[in-house]
Amino acid sequence: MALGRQVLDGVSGFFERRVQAHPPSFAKSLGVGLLFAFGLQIITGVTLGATYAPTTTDAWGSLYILETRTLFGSFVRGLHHFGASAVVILSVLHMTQVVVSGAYQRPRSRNWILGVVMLFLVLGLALTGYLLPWDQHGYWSTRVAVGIIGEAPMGGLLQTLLLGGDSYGNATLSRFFALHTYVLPGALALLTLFHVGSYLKHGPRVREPAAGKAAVAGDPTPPTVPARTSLPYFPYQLVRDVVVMLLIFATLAALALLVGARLEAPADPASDFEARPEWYFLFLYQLLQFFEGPLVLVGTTILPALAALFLIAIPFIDRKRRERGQSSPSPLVRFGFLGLLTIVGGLTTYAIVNDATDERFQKSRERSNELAARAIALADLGGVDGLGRVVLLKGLELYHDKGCASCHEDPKVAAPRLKGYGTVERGAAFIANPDSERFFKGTPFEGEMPASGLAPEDNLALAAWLMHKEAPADRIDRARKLFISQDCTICHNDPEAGVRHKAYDPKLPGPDLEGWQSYEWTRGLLRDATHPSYFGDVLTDAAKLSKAMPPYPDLTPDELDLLTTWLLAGAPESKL
Amino acid sequence: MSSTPDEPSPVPAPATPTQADTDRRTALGRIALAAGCALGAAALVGPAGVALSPLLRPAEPSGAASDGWMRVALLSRFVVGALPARVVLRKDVRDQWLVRRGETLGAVLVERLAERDFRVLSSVCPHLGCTVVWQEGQAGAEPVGQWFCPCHKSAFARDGALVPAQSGPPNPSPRALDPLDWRIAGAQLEVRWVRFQTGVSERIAVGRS
Repeated sequence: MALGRQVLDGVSGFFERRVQAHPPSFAKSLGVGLLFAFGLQIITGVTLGATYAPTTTDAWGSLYILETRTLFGSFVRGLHHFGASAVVILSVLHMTQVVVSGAYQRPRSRNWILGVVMLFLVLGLALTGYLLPWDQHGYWSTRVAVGIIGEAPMGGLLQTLLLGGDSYGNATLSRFFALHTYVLPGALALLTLFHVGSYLKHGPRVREPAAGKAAVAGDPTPPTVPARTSLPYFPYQLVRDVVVMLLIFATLAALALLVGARLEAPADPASDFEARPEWYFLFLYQLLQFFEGPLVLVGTTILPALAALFLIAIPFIDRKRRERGQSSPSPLVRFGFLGLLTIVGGLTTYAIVNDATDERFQKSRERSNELAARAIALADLGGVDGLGRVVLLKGLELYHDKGCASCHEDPKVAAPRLKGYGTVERGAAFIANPDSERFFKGTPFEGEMPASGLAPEDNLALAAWLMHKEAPADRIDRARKLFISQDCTICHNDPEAGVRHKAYDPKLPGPDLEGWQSYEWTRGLLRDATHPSYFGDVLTDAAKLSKAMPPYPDLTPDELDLLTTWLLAGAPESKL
Repeated sequence: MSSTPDEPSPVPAPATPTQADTDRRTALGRIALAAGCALGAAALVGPAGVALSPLLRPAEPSGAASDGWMRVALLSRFVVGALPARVVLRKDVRDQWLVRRGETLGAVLVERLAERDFRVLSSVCPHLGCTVVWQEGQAGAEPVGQWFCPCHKSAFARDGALVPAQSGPPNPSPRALDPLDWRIAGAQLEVRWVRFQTGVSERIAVGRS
């Protein structure tokens, strides 16, 4: 308790010695709130930096792990994501407040210019941040943004410098990462020190003339004390500051928990992702829609540059006025700034409404959301390979691209359904009834293999034994005996007789069962299912054979591996 | 916006604050400080969770889970009566998000005792985890071999049993070489690879990588 008392006295003494002014108000807490939001960005940013891998092959994977397999990882990323928006919003509110109160005038004009530079750093941080996940959104919206830069004069040069070359790759990601985590936050933190230092030196701008006005109005008793006496910062303003910070944090936490930061599918340069910048750059994006062809320079460079110039020039516009002793902002400044805000806000709203009512865009968003969810689920199941590919997603894509799905997925086409491929359950279901809807019904193989007629547990035992899956030793023994007693050997070789192909007797019509549905077996089947060791000698009728699965000699070794891996993961995301 | 009942009225400011004012001020200060500290703590909850996340050992990604059986080699590679063979195990390894194919996991020592009977030992020395190697030696006139660890001279018989040191310091290994489960799957020998804690006499499994 005594210690608490001491700490309290110490803190209150510190504030009392320093800031002693003005009536407390929530309006004055805005700057502190902004400072807090920036601090939160640093804390969450460092945390993200401790889990992030800044290479094109690993960035997405590291974020998927953070999002799904790290305690509070998704929460921290959400805080950082919405925190960026909070910094932008609070910056604009803070500037508005300064403009309305005229606090950009001397002696605070330098601090205003510093603030404008800081706004650009904030926007730079926002711009460099969303490339880092190397997901569809980050990749494509950065392409758009960098494309806009490229259209400005000298833009090509700037573009090459930003990208670290002329294409998007590891050099780009490293550069953006360095900008986002070292250069821009470092510069912003430094300028923040100056900015806050200057504020503490000059104090907030207080409208003095309250007493004067009273006098002008002919107040009979001229005030002997200032109309509004100052109160110490501690605790009266501090309480308000803390409330504002709490509100900001609570809002961000709620957004992080309830909405969360999106992680799209990994960047795919061949896809048709519809890129949109983050909402705080939508106005620029929308502006560009109005200027096409030769006028493009107006949208990309001239108008934004004019706006920036106006912001920097605000203290100078007002200088004369200040010299005349008028402290309120001139109409040019006031209406210019508010007009600028209105235009930016209007363009942003227009863009948002446009997209929200665009059915085609919404459909495309829906598709990319589905893909994102699928990518995360499949990464969880089969990981990301050294080339940055979600292994099972690539397999699934090949399954569709190579036309496999057009038979195996189409309800109108009879073909074995692949869901659960490689599992004992599916193997046993096949042994139990090969001619079921799930397998051979309606295919050229219908009627080639009889149903086992065994008890369910015996089917499971046979499948486990054939597929080298774990099962109790007595079940495996029983399966071995059943294989003989059920006359499987009339068509099939004994899978334990030896090495694949070597022990396979070409006179046997049935497929070689050594390593049935194993990696090698499956991979070979994909290459050429018509080989005699598969189904080539099951179907002696050429017409029937032509309806069976053809060989795929054009599949590359890599594609075969991806497809096989996907199949053996149980053909996830395919239909039953 | 400006004043709440908690505060001394600023108009006009009293020359000396009363005791009640001071009390209110102290209380308000305490609230502000406590709330500020709570806020600071709340802001650090997320980062702390991320930092401490590895302690929770979240369940392995479902794709990484398996029954643990790994292929060693074709049965025909091992001959009854021949010296034990050392086989390196390779596996697709999952490191966080990254899947690496064919990573070296460790080595097993395989001896074919009969047509369908094997002895499979882990090559990890139970002393401190170095890898044992086969060493030919002499016991009197009989040529005998033993498993020998080059790190601290642990020695084990062909079947993995601890060999007491003939001279010099005692055998540093606290237990015999660790046997591994094996099975025959088709034409292949498979093993369930386990790593055991080193330096202790009990056999405690610690992982599969």
